[in-house]
Amino acid sequence: MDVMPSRWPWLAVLAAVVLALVVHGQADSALPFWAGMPVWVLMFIALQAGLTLAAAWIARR
Amino acid sequence: MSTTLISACLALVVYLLALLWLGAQSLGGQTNSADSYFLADRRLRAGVLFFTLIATNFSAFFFLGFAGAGYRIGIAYYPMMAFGTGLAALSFGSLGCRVRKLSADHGLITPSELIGHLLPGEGLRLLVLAVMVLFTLPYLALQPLGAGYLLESLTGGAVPFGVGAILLTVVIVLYVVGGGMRAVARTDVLQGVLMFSLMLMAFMAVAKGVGGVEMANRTLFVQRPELFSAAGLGNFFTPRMMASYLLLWPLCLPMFPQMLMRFFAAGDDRSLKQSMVLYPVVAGVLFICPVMIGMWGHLAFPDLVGRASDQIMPLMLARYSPEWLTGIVMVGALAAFMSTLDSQLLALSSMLTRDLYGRYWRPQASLAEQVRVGQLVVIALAVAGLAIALRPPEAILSLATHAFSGLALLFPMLVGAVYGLRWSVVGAMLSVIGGEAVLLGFATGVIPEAFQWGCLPLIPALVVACTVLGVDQLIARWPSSGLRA
Repeated sequence: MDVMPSRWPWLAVLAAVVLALVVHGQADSALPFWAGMPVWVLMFIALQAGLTLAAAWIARR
Repeated sequence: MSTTLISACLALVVYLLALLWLGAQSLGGQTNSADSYFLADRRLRAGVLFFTLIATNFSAFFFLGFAGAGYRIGIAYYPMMAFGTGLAALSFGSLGCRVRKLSADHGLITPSELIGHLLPGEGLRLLVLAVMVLFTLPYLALQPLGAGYLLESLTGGAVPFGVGAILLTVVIVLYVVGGGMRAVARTDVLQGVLMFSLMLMAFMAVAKGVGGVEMANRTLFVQRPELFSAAGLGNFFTPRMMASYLLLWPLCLPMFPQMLMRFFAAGDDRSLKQSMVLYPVVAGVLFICPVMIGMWGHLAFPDLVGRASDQIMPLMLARYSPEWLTGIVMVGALAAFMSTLDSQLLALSSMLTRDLYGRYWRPQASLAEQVRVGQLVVIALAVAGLAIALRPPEAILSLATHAFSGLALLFPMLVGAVYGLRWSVVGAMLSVIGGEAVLLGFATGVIPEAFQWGCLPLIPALVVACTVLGVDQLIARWPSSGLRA
C-alpha cells in the first residue's frame, strides 16, 4: 500500500528552495573558506545534492 | 601557422564531418511521416534523450557567457544557474511524463496542438504559436551570429564572420533536412559529449595554470573579496533577484518549444525520469567550471570592461592551457551553438508546418507532404536566421533578451491545462496577453521600474497572468454560473 503521499518529495524540493534562499541571504555575514571555496557555495552544492535526491524520490513514484 | 590554429582547424573539420556522417546515418529508418521526421517516431530513450535535452538547453552561453558572468558578477552566478537548472529539470519527470502520454495518445506533435487538444479554441492555438515563434526566432538568430564570430576568432580571421555563420548553418541544415529529429538527437549526443569533456579539460588546464583551485581562490579573495560574496560584484544578486531567477528557470525551460517537443519525442516515462535525476548532477558539476575560469580571469586580465569580459574563456585558455587544447575547446563552444540551433530550427519548422500550413493552408496535406514542407521551412528559417545574424536589427536583439521571461509566462496557463484545470479560452488568452503586456510595459519604460519591487520584470507579469487565471476559475465556479457560456 502506498503510505507516502506523492506531495512529500515536492515538499522536500520546497524545503531545498527555502534553504537555498536562507543560505544566500545569510552568506554575507561571514565568509569562511574550506578547501579553497566559500562555505556558502559548498552549502549550495550540498543543496544541489539534496535536490538530486528529491528528483530520484519523485522518479520512484 | 600557430599550433592553436592548426589544432582548431583539424578539430573543426573532423567535427563537421562527424556531424554530416551522423546525419547521413539517420537517413535510413524514416517512415516519411510527420511523427518520424519531427519526433523520431517518439522513440528517444535513456542516454540519447538525456544528451539531447542537455545539448539543446546548454547553448554557447554555457561556454562563453558563463565565464563572462563569472568575471563580471563572481561566484554568485554559479549557484543561481546550477540550482535553478536543477529545479527546472524536475519538470522532465513530472510535467514531461504527462505531456508525453497526452501527445502519444492523441498523436500531437507541436505545443499548439497540445493546447488546442486541452482547450479547444483557434485563437489560443495561434496565440501560443505566436508567442513561441516570436521569442524563439530572435534567440535562433543569435546562434549563427555567435558561431560566426567564434569561428572568426578561432581561425585568427582566416574564416570571416559571414562565411563562418553560413558554413555552420549549411552543415546544420544538411543534417536537419536529411534526418529530422533522429539526426538532431544523434548529433546532440556527440555535441553533448564534446561539451562535457572539453569543458572539464579546459577547467583542469586553467586550474593547473593558476596554481590550483585553492591557491587561485585565496589569492583572488585577497584582491577582490566581493567576487566571493553571495550578492556578487555590483550587488547584482539581491535576495529578491536570486528568488526571481530561481523561479524563472523552472518556468521558462519547459516552455522552450524545442524542450517541450523532447517530451513528445521521449520513448517512455522511465527515460524522462532518468534525465530528471541526472540533470542536476551534470549542472552542478559543469557550471562551476566556466564560472571559476571567468573569476580567475581577474588574476591575469583585471581590466576587461562590459561585453569584453565574454572573451575571458578564450583569453584564459590562450594564457594557461596548451596551445593545441585552446583550439579544440573552442570547437566545444561551437558544438554548444549548433546543438541549440538545430533543435530550434526543427521545433519552429514543425510548428509552422503543422499549425499554419497543415491547419489553415492545406488541411488535406499528406504526412509525406508535411515532411517535405517541414524541410523547406527548416531552410527558410535558417536563411531568415542568417539574414538577421548578418545585419541584426536592434529590436530583434532586444526581443531576444526577453525571450526567457516571455516564454515563462505561458507556464501557468499551459501547465494548469495539462494538469486538468479547465480555463476558459478567453481567460487563458487574457492571462498570456496580460502577462506579456506587463513585460512589454517594463521593456519600453511605460511601466516604472519601481513596480518590479526589486525583482525581475517577470514577477509582476506573472502576478498579472496568474490573477487572470484565478479570476477565470472563480467565475467558472460561481454558484449561479450562467456567467459563462
